[in-house]
Amino acid sequence: MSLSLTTQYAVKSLGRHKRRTLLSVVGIGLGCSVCVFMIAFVRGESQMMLRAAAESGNGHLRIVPAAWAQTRENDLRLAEWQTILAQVGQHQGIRIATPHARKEGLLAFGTRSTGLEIVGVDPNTEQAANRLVRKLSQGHYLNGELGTTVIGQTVATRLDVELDDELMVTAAAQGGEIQSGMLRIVGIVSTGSKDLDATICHIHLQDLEQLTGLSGAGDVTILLTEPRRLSKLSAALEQSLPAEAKIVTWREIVPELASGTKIDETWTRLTVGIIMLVVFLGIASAQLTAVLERRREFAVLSALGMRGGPLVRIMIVEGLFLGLVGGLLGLILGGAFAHRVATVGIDFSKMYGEADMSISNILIDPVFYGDFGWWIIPLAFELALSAALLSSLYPAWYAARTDPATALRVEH
Amino acid sequence: MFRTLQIAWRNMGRNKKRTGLALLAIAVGQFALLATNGLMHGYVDNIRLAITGPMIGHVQVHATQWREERALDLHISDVNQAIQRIQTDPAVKNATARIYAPVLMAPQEDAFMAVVAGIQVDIESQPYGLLSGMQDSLEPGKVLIGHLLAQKTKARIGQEIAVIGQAADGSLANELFVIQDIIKCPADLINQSGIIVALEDAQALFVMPDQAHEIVVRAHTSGQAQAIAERLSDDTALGSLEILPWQAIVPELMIILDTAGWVGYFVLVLVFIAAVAGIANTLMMSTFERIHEFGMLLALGCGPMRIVRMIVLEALLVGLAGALLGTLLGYGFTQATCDSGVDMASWAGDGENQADNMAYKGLNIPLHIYPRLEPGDSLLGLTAVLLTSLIASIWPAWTGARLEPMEAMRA
Repeated sequence: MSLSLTTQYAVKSLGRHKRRTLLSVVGIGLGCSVCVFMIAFVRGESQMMLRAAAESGNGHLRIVPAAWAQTRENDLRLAEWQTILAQVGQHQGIRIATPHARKEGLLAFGTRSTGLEIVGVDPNTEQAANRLVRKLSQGHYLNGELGTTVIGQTVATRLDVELDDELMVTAAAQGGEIQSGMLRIVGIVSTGSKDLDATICHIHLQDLEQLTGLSGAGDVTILLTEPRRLSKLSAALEQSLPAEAKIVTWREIVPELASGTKIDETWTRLTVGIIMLVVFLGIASAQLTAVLERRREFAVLSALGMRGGPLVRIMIVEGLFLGLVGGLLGLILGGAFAHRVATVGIDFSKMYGEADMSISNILIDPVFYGDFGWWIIPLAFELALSAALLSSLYPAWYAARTDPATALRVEH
Repeated sequence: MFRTLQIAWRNMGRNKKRTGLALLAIAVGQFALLATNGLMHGYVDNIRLAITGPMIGHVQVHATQWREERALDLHISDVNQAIQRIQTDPAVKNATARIYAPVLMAPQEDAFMAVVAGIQVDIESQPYGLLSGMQDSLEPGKVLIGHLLAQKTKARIGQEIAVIGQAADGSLANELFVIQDIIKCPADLINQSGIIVALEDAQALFVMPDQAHEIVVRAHTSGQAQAIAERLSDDTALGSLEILPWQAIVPELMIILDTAGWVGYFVLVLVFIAAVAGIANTLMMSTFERIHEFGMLLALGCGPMRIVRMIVLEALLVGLAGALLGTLLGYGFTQATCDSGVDMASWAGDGENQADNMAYKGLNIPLHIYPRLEPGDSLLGLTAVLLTSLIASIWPAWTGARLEPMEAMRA
């Protein structure tokens, strides 16, 4: 009974001061929408970067030899990789799994040469796992024929070669012996980034085995259908693996990206914190006014027997309502913006012009999309309610201390 | 006007707590703006230093097409003569030649890809050079290697390494070198895959007599890159070489520099949108609370415009005081951090794989930022604050101007 009385009273007094209520709600709503929008954008950006990184050949997860996590040596081989690959393929939530082996080498043609990491792949699954090698400007991707290669456009320019030219590849085989071989170019990849195009040289896994003298794959790279379930899936996979194999996530594969994402998050959190602090101060000021203006009113209430507790409750309930309505406004405003950015995106390509869009060998899409989903609803209310409730505390405490005698004596 | 100002000032003090809160809201806004701008300036400084510093310099000279093809045979011939010619330009501090060649490096059994950088050690040891701060000179037949390359190849100081590559004339380039030192330098390319040898050694190894791939030109002051590049391009003695300022060499970094500027404005807008409502609220309250008082003033012959002025002035005063406080806080922040810096890398957590630099375009951009403010920064915030206060005072002022004295006094 007492609660509903205070609630009724709080709602009525909010209605009595429509202008103030409106301003407070708008204040909370604006601040909240700005924050919701920012968080949605940064979340979308991180997801996009992760997708770009994972699909640039890095994968969400990799199964590697246990020693790789420490040494990152390309010459380590994954024991029983075929069994692991077959096992992983049966797991739910895996979009694609494909084996890789890597070797640093020198490509040469005539008087030209360039050094890069040669990647041995399974031609049947690689294109599905790596968006970079889907962008062929000439020829076709590896098709199972041995002794062929697909290279990036920049590599082709540097070596001054075209399709069907035979490249000489040189690398150190097991035991330190310098091994050479010939590779016929069957395809040239143009990702849109010259820097990235300088790093691409794919050959058949078997060709790499021959070049290195090491048989097998160095890792199994996995793309997930739902990156959100990464930790659960990797835990589930880990159990079925032999002891000498280990799972590494994209955080370990591309640590620069993991750090970048964390920094972005921290930055957003700081900015959101500051905006909410500004909102909080504004609302606190309004709520305090509401208390000061109603000193006599509170004095009468307390003279009639309403003590500190219910008075505090009135203020808190007022804050609660302001927060709810403000949160709703923030949700509508911020949500609308976030939705637009999530569906239409923000196109940075004009700004970037002809410049390269790759960072740490990850091809970045020039159109940025925000994230949008049900999570926006609790976020908006969480922000709005915490700002509104926190800012009601001081005014509530102030109201509770009202001494009826003095307050009533004061003439307006 | 002075009277009005006095009244406005006194009105501010009527309700100290409320004014204090509004003032604090503005101060926090201004502080956030200054802190962001300070960090952004520091970040931009880092990028600019990383660019014009060791790796790229202010102006670069190449044979046409070299930047595209990176072919050993696309070289600058008669390098010494070209360097001497470049150094006649009064704005040029120094010019130094480099050779870049992809090779395989074999410390023991395995071979790794690497890039031999043939450089003029004496010039590169000067400030802003690739080896700036290095005390010892590089002995002939010895090399320096990047620390990440050393880590990967497990190479140690004093060890002998084989370098295998192709010479400019197509023959096999093959030589043994001793590692004199392992270096950590601001150029990511060198850290990851660099084998630094003396220019003469590189010229001999790759059969490039008096030739080089790149001439790096450093100016006395940083704003002169474009002018120098233009002057050198017009110099017929330098022939058909491609001469570009750093802005044209790494346009991507120019975009990052621009973007960093926009971040400041973005925060400005967001914070002040949030601030408007709060200040408007406070002003509204203080206006409506004093309706009675305004009625009295109107009855005493004070014009409605004066009431408007009073309200607007009060808003501006609160804004100014808040901005002042915020500016003090903002400068306090940059003063407190400008020496030790802010380590943004630590924001990424203390994980094992923590990166303390951001590698981009072969350059290392340190994430340890030394905030710095420019004179315009606080003015920008101040303008925003005053605008905010004006916008926030529109409604109260409008209400104040339309008051009927009798009704207002009855309120």
